Amino acid sequence: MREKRDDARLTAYVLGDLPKSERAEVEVQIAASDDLRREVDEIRATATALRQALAAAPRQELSGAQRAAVETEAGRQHASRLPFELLFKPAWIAAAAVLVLVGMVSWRIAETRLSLRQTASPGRSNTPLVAQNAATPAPPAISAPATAAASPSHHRGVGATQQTGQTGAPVATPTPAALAVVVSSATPGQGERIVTLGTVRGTVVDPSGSAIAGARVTLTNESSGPVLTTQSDARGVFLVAALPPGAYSVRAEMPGFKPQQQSQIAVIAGDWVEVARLELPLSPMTETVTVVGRVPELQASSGERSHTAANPALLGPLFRSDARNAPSTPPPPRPASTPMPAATLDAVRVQSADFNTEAYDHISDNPFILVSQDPRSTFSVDVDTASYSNMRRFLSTGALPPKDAVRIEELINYFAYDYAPPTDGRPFAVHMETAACPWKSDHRLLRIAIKGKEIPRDKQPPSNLVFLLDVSGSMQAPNKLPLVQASMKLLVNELRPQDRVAIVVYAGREGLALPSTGASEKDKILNVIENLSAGGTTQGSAGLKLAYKIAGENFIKGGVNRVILATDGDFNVGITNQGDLIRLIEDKAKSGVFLTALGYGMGNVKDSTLEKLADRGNGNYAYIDSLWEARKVLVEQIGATLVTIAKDVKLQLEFNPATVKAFRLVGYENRVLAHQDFNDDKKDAGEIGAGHTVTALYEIVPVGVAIDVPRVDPLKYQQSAAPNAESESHDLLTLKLRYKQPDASQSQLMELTLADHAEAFDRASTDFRFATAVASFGMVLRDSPYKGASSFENVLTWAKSSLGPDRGSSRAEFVTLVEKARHIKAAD
Amino acid sequence: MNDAQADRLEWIRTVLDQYQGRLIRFAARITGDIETARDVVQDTFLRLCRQDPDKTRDHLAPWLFRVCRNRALDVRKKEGPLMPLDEAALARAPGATSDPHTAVETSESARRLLAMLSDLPASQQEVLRLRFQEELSYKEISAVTSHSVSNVGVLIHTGLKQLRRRLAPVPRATEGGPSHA
Repeated sequence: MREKRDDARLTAYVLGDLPKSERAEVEVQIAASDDLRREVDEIRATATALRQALAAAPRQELSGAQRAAVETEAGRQHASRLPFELLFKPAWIAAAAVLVLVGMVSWRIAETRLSLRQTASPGRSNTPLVAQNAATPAPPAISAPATAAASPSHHRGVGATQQTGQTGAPVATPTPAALAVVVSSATPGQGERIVTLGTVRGTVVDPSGSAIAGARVTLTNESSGPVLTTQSDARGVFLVAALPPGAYSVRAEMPGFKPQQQSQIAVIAGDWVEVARLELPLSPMTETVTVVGRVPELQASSGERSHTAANPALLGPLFRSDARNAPSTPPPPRPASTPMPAATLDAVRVQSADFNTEAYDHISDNPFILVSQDPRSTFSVDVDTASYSNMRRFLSTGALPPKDAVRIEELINYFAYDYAPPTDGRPFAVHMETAACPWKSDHRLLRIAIKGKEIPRDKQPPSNLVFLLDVSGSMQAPNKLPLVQASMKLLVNELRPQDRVAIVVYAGREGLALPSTGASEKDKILNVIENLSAGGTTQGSAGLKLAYKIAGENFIKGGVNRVILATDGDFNVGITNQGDLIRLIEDKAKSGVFLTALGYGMGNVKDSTLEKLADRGNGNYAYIDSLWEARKVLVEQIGATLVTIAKDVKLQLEFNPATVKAFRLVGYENRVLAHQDFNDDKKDAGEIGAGHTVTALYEIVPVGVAIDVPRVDPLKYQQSAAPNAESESHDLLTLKLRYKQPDASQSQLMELTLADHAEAFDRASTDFRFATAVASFGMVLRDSPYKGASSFENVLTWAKSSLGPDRGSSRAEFVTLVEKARHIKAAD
Repeated sequence: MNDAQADRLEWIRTVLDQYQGRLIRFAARITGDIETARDVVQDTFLRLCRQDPDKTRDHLAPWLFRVCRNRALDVRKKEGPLMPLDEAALARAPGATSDPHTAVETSESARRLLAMLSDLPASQQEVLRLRFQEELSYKEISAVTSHSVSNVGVLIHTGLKQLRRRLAPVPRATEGGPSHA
């Protein structure tokens, strides 16, 4: 009987709906019981899952006529209206409280202020649906006394009433010290196990004071590491409840702005901390991104609502006074029916039970190879980045990624590096650098850095794009088709009048949703994207055939001809045989139509299929886990994604036995080529896009350093290669590259040699050190046998000292991810 | 039109923008028909226009949901209940627009969860939706549904518990609650 009641109270406690008077008592019980704490976690997890599931509900609106009828009625004169000034008169407050509370709860005069605060909380719900939804990723306990704060002091005052708990001991909630006393008296010896929680709330604004919606907000416990990432809602507000007390720092970031951080935020048990406004300065480097990402209507509305939102308890009157102060402000616009989300969709996520349907090919780390046995190493460039965003997705669900989902070269190549572009008329420049290997001090690291030539957007050739969009039933989840639609809209907004778009959809059967259309008719294109809906099973191959057919019919000679495939990769009807699919794409790539594969969703990602398709289709593969990522791939790096400047780029290294004993290519496991393929122009290899950077690392064992490599017996009949004059030199290696112009079938050759100057690791360039940190992180995640002294701690040290200018703050995000991984590992 | 009228019209427009989607969704679950739900919501707003705004302003959400609910129940009584619309049916209803903002990492498991939700008793479903979709507090839900506050608490608790059981194994909480303490 009592237990049942207590159960319901526990749920109410977690949801923030337990009256203050009963809260302390429950907290004492929680503090004393591991079971109850587990229960709290489970309730919270279920609540989060339910919120997220319900957040995906569709929007509905009144018809135009219905709305007009309401507005007509609203404009009519009605009698008996109280002047606003009366709103704050105590008598009115009491009257309002009576009105609200009659039939609901008994109340006392002493509680009037509190009651009003609670009944006023619809102010929180007064944000438009858009804001509600955007607010959903905030953690579940958002409903802790969730009236927005007018000021911290306001909140601090509220809880300071003394109550008598069940134990008969006086219970006071406002400070941890006071609670500690109670807890220790109730359950002796457990005073340190306080689980009373606090709340942090803040607002992210731009320099004009307007709200920034969708800013990524990372909350870090200064002693234990990152706690979670959430995002600001349409009012620019973020709220994180149920935090263990302690010192926290908050970091807010948004593309187009410089990130801002606040540290030393003291979260006090049972209390509410209002963080000073985080004002993000504009970042001149990416100003254009800002314009694209933040749609004016949304900006206007969120800016305006941020005023009201700060004081939801006073929504009406303040809203009006705001309007008076700024007479030029238009009435709040209706939320656009399809607001372009200015949001990264990273958020607290509940782990999906469906991971096991994801497919990753097994990767074995490249081994050390003795130069005496094979001095050559041949591989193809890889500009894919999918593994990085996929890894990020895993970490944000609180899990380490499966080893085979970590492809180190894709981690390294996710980042932009400041390599010098070519000056000799070639499509790309190649740089080499060596330094000591930080995870194995007697080894050396070699970095090969390739930089594709930059082509300004207005000089890029016209594009003939065919969007091939998977609208099958499996795409119905909100992080799939809606995110695909939002991504494609971002891309369409980047197109110029000379570009063309066709849209092919495929589900139960393939269909042409939009014939090739000039990008001057943007509205028409956006409209088709908007009206896509999911249903049916995937018939991928027929869709692919149709897309390539359309691309061929609209082929632009000398232009960009590309199929952009957006799918969760679940090709399960039609040509399900991967080999057949790959042959189809390989054939089409020869015709000059290239492929970009964008992977979406979770739980169903056929990572291996997509990577192979992109690989064989002269293309690239990115995993889109959020609009943030979509913007990076389709807006910031549109040139690299769309405009191929060199294809079939292969590298072959020959190491000098006089200086190098053994070597190991870090990553690129599935890009390794047979040596004879290097000179074979029929053998496909990777592409480089405009402005792309490609980085490869070799770990080198210098001559004179012992290495334990499984040895094959020495050859009996062959002469061992005698060192010649060349090998007498101090050269480390010779690098040869082959590439083709995008429309050529014959390759060109480049050749470079490098000597090692015995540079120490901390003297290496910033980019070198950062790429090394990323590689090291990948090895830790993969638990590579070659990781040496790599550890999350070391990665953090190396990465933090090599952030460089960090445009787009992706390196800072990397640091957060490493900390998160360390945290997850420690919790296991 | 004088200032007071202009202010009022502006206020109604704001409220309309903020609540119409949520109310239509809510009403549709009762009426089982999207067009009827739209009518109910229009009527709710017309009633709001005739109210003294100062009497509704500070408890606007419970007021709107309560009026909307009563109106929808009236209609259902008169016209006979239909199958309640679930989320998938709502998404297919004419005029539905999905909102990419909501594309927050839900998953296949989210759909499973919604299916389980639809299996719960109607009274539990209603309060769970009001709590987790509309973000109303227990007291506000009590005002909307005429259940007592403690009854709301029991309904939510029981509902969540049912979902938890069926959802098991429940994943580790990821939002940095006391599990990290």
